[in-house]
Amino acid sequence: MNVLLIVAGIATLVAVYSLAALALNFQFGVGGMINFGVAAFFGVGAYGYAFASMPPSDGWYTYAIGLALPWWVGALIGGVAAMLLALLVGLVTLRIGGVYLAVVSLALAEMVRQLFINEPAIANGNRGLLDVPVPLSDVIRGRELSLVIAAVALGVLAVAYLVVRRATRSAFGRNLLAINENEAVAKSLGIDVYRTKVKGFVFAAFFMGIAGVMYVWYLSILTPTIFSVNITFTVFIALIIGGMGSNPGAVAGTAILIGLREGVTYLKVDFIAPEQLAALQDAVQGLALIAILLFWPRGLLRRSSRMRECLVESGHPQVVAPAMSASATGASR
Amino acid sequence: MNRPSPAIEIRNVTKSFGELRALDGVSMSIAANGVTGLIGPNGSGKTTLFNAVTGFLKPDSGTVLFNGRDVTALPTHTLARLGVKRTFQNIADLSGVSVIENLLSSVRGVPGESLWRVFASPRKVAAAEDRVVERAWHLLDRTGLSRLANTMAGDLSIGQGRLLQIARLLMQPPRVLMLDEPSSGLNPDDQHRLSATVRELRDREDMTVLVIEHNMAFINAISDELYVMHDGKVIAHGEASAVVRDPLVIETYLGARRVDA
Repeated sequence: MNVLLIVAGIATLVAVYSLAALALNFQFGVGGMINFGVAAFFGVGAYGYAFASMPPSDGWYTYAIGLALPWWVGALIGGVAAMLLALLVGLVTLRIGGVYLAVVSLALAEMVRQLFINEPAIANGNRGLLDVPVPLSDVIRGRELSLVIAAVALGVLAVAYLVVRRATRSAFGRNLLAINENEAVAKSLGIDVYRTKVKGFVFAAFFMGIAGVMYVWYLSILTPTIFSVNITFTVFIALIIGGMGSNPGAVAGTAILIGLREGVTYLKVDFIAPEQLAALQDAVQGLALIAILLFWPRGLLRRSSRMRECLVESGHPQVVAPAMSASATGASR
Repeated sequence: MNRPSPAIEIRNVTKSFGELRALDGVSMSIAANGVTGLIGPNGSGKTTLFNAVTGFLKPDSGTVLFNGRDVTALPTHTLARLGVKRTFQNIADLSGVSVIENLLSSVRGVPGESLWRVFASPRKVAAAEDRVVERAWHLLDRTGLSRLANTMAGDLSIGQGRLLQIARLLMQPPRVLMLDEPSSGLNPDDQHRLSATVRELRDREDMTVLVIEHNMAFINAISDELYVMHDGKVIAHGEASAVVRDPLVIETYLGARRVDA
């Protein structure tokens, strides 16, 4: 077996889940919005991409829409579809706050899953969509394609990481964090809590949608299992491992979790049957979570005080800080 | 000195929680550019009044005017942007972020608050951010909190937390500053510094200040006018020195309390 191909596959998966984890971190880690419906946005992105990029149904099997658009246009459509869903959910649930979002989003993913299963006219029901276009598959064939997909997925992750980091460190991200810390105080400081939450929720949903799109690139088939709660849990566990509120943590946590989980499947041990490997994957995921909660309850990388990064980043040399504080201490003492 | 028109006018505001009439037809006229004290026993409705004025609670009836404009139905964040800002009685830091981030969080109207502009005009956003950071350092300097700039706000002492609450509001000085028991938990030194700050805000920045207090020495030192509340009603009002000698006030609130007016 080609080791490079295995690595490329794992790298693609890491990119997929890291992107979803970054998005969830913005919603939950920064904004305190508990979204148990990650799979819904992930799946809607994936189906949005499939509908946009597949040719119209030729009758071999049915699906509602096939726009035959280029892959990158399809990807954007997938992201925007997730945003629209997030706007709907956010407008309804975020005004009330508390656990409403958590409950509604959890139910939402299941509702969409049942819809896609029970209405085969939408996307071929449980059997799903086969041969969803994969980027550059017309130019590159065979083994190299997996490498190219991995490269594209990692590239998308890198760009998305910079975008999300910039958003987290902006005044907008600060407002979102302030809401998470104390909603009453945020209001008293003039922050429009509802609008800020909805905006942050919708913004991050774009990246969940794109993560779903990249998952289709990895599989090239698409079934309603994409809406399963397992996807949501994987992203949550990755975030807990990495450390809530930390962007690098979201990526690191995902890399560790996916690395362990996928690594297990390549175990060549005689006494483990293939079907036991799948169970072992779940066990490893659970053990990783327990170990983290026992030894690093707040995750591997915590949210640091962003101010220090902020000062350096905005061109304020760090010497400004100590110099001023020294003079202040002198004055006040 | 001729009386300026009131900055905040509270007209016949009522608020009930079930059977309890927390505010029972409260009317007040808070003079602009003055310090007005609000005293009364626990449970007399002082903080409820703050909540009703700042939009945290919707009064059952009555109106609140700010500079003559009806602001009764306005949400808290809109009122804050108009310039009516408050502190909280309990510790109200954004405890999981650093002291300086607390200050930065309180600035409204910077371009970085719009996600769109963060990416569309990054240079403008960065320039505005620099100005805000500079202002924050300046205020930390003024309040003596600079060396704590990168401390998590949750690790501050009670007194430092109160200073932080005020510093935070001063990032964009409000027209009306409402302080809910600002001196509790402060040591005498900090209390002196706080009363000096409040007077300075009134005299130099033309701010209207409304203060809830139990500390009579402190409230006497800073107030131009006093309102006394009891059981959701205003029972006395006038110049501070006169009010504290009012027999009704002494009976219902001050009681055996020694008044060092």
